[in-house]
Amino acid sequence: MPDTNEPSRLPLLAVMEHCTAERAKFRQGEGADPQYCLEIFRRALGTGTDDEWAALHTCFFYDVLHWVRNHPAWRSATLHEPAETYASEAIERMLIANRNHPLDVSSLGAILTFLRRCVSSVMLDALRAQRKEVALDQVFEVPAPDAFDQVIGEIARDELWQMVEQCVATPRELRLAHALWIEGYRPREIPQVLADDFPDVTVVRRCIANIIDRLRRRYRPQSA
Amino acid sequence: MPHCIDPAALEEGRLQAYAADPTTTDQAVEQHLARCPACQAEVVAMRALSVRLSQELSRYDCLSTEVIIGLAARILPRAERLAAEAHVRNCARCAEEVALTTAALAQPDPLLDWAASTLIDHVAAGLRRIVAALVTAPIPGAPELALGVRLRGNAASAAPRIYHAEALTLALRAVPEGNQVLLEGLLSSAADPLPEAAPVRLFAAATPAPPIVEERADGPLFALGPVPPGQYTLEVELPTTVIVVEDLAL
Repeated sequence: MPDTNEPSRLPLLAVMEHCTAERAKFRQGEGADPQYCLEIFRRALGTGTDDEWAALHTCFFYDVLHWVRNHPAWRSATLHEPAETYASEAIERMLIANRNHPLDVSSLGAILTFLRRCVSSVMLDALRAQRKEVALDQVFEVPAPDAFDQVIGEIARDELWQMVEQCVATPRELRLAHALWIEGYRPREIPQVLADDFPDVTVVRRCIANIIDRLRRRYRPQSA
Repeated sequence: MPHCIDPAALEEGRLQAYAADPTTTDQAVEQHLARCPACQAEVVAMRALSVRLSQELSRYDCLSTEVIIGLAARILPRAERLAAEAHVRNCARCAEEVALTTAALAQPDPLLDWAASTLIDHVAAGLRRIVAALVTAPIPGAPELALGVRLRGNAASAAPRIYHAEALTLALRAVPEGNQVLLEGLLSSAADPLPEAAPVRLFAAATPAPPIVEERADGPLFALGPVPPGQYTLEVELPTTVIVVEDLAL
């Protein structure tokens, strides 16, 4: 006789109810069966109807939101979007990953661990996007594109970095250029990240000026 | 092209140093700039170039967020991990992100351990479970000789125990760490090549609870713990089998 409580045979709503009940038992330290929670993931990542995705959101959104709010990137930086946006994006990222390479849904621990990694992925991307933004005071200083600007716009990033590499005089200057233009540190932050090379910000400013000066002399377009 | 109205107003390099850092203030430079359109243009051009370089080169050669997470979660294959670690040593920003992610993933969450893989799960998943047998005599070519070199080489620790499971040999050594014990292992296979990062788990013996500690092997090597002395069950998960060492006294 078939088991009527077998998760795969139950209607979605019943699976959600069991999932909620089992989670409550788990929280109270009682013996609890994770199979119903796993079934929610199986359905959302398998057939993935709107209802099945809504069920996943209903059952696990607050766990994901908790991971976002406790993520060190959320606590250390003032990110632009509300935590709920990043939580939704993390769940969406799991869906995309599953489309590209079907995820193993044989273990709830494994799939939740993967989902928590999706949270980290979203948070790191948000942090990177925020750091890439140009400060308003710098935006107003950027002049209209000139011929030199056009040169930069037309070459690939690796070529541009090669140009910079050719204009540094020492390994110390190369580390400075990397920290400044690739890693996005501000000049006054350099003595903290390259303390052995640059204990003083005045030396940082002088070195940056030298590199920029060499770049402009060496690569200034002939027509400029 | 306009020229500076007073070239002697500032010592050499002072204007350029000012231009190099948009957050700096220098009263003498600013007074000069207020009067000199040529130097204003010079500062703007230098700063514009720096901003443009930042925009174009931002994170140009940095690790992708997926690799950062893989590194923090210790799930990268060995070659990729070594390359990523080499980058992190020279990139403060990536190092910062690895630290953030490691901290995030290390936060305890009981929910993640609710259905951690157990022996029963593996059997249900169709993995063949092989109980390894302890061999008393050293086997020629077995990894116990390498163990002394590749693991810590501490002569004071217990001699390696060698287990066999079909074509697999597993050398284990318990290394005391204070009141606890670190389990070091070396896996070798006479047949199929070993996976890059096989999951290894230590369970309290004879209980169906989640593993006490779980790591991924670094090629053939792994270390678990430290854990309190006691009886344990060790599992090494390979693509089609689970090697089990029962009644492991540490």
